[in-house]
Amino acid sequence: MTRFLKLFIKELLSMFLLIIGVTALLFLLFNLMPGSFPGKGLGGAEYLKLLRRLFTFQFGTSIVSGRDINTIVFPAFRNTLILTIGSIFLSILISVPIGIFSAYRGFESYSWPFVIFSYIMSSIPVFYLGYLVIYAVSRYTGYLPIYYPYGSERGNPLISYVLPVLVLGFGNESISEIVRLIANELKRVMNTDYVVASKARGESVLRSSINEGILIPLISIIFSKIPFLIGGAVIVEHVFNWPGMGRLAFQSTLNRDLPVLIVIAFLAVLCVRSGMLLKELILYYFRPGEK
Amino acid sequence: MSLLAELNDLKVYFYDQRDKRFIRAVENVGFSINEGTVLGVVGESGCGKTVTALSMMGLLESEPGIIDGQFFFKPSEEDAELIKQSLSRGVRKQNDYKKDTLFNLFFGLDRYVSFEENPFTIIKDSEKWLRRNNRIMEHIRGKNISMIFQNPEQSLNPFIPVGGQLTRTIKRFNREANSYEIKEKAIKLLRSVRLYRPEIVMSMYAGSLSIGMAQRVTIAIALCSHPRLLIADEPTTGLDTTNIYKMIELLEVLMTEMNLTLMLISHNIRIVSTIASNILVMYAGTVVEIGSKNYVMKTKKGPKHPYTEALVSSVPSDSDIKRGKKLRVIPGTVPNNKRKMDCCPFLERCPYAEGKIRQKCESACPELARVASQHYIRCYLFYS
Repeated sequence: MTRFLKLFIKELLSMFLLIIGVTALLFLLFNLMPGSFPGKGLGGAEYLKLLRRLFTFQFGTSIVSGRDINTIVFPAFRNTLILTIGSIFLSILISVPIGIFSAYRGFESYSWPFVIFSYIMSSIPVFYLGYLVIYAVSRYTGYLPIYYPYGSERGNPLISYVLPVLVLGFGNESISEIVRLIANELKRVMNTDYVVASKARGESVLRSSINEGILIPLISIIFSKIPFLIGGAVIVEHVFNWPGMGRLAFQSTLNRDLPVLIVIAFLAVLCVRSGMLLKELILYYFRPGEK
Repeated sequence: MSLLAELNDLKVYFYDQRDKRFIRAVENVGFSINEGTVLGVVGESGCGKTVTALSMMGLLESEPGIIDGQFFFKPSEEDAELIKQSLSRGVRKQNDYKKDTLFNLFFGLDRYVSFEENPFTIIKDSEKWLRRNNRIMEHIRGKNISMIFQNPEQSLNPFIPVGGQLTRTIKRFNREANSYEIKEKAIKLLRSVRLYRPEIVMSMYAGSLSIGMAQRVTIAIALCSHPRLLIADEPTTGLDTTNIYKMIELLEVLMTEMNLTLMLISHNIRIVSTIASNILVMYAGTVVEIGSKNYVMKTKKGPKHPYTEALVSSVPSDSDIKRGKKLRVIPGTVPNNKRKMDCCPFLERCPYAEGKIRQKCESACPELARVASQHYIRCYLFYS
């Protein structure tokens, strides 16, 4: 238990330091930017005020629109979270069965079409896949909405989640990585002594190797993929006109809206680091040797 | 005393992908085990003892190759029908797979394993057979034959506490039992393998157990399904000398308590001879001597394979130690098993191969010859 607490405190401390570093760097870069715009040329006292605003989650007002940043950022944050988590689940849903299948049968048998499919899916750029899907869906079916019904009452927002989640789930590079990792790890674990021993007493191979063969590699790869997913989400959000953090960041960069940008960076750091913390905690639960 | 298992002409070859040739692991191995007896299997490392045990359990999966032979086994009555169903699938003659109440678990082997030189075909064929074999062995593993392995620490799942593995296995064999009964049974089993404070051991992980404790736990897990045959593959490796005999005593006690039949694999012939009723001596993948303990261990008189003699004298007995006798080693090593068996495999290390008899030994591998009732030796010295 003390180890657990130590880990927790260490992670929290590193998160705090990272937030200070990121925001300070952004603040400095903004002050070095050419041109003149509101928010430029502020001193250290202003930075401390900014930190207080960030850590109390009262982000202040946007320079451009004059609205409260909380009302702008949190809906966008929620949308991105839905997109990211949904696409992660989709990736797992596709790649884990392929990985298990190819671990069981090897590449020689019928698993190779699936493996090749996963590699092709990972090598298509996300924006290209997005436009392809939009073209195919709008040209030939017309059932699914290709854009988020932004600011209008028409259409069901839930259905409009389908296409972006599908595209990001297939198109992020994690599918082939998960397939390769699980195929290798599971194959290795399936030949270890304890799995053979449990097979000798009639237990199923998959059940006894699921911890080391699937769960641990899957957890470590998924949580380390979160930063890339947020990056990939920027493109998908742009393609699908999805009101998420990525699009918001893009727009506020164009508008030079410093307060919003810093808040977005703050939330991204928070998201990525807490993902890492969660990974450590889950792995701690699964690895008995460290208890 | 009725026949429980009988292995005839087991052949296991592994295919070497790089050299494009077969490696002989086991050839012409056969024995029979009666219910309630102990068969000791003795030999140096690399003599095919473990491969024999693994192929009996159908656990040889990592390599493509050839498995051939017949393995008759008498399952418990409730499983007999299930095994009969899975064996007779797609078979025309109904009684080929059966001999009295014994079922040939290797039935249909010749249909799937081919001797073609193309490695791709061999992989595919053995894979196909292994899938069929897995279907048959579903009813055998655990319920009828259980196995404990030579490295107990590695054969426990490091991610689940010991109690979890034990209760999981018990639960599979008693589906109706509630969790309280299962826990009671687990504790009782751990007590029966002489583990103190079983409640604490239940919550421990494999990494924190000593080798002796881990071996006892693996025995407990192997026994929770009440198997008919227990294959103990070097259960004494890594234990110190006093614990070795405690472990052997434990196995002997468990045999009478649980009505077990034991196949004890070891490289130490003296340990095996303390409880075994029959001893099988393996060398270079073949049986060189098989017989009841009294015949095989008789040191002075009576026929005896030179290899058995060397094995016996390489482990000092109590009287040897008292007299201050020097330890004897067997010169040389086990021969390369890539070579074809065209001479006696023990020829290079045999002290008796001289003169006329040496020419015989060099010409061909001797057959297993009967020297007494239930005592067979593969040596030209005892050809009559």
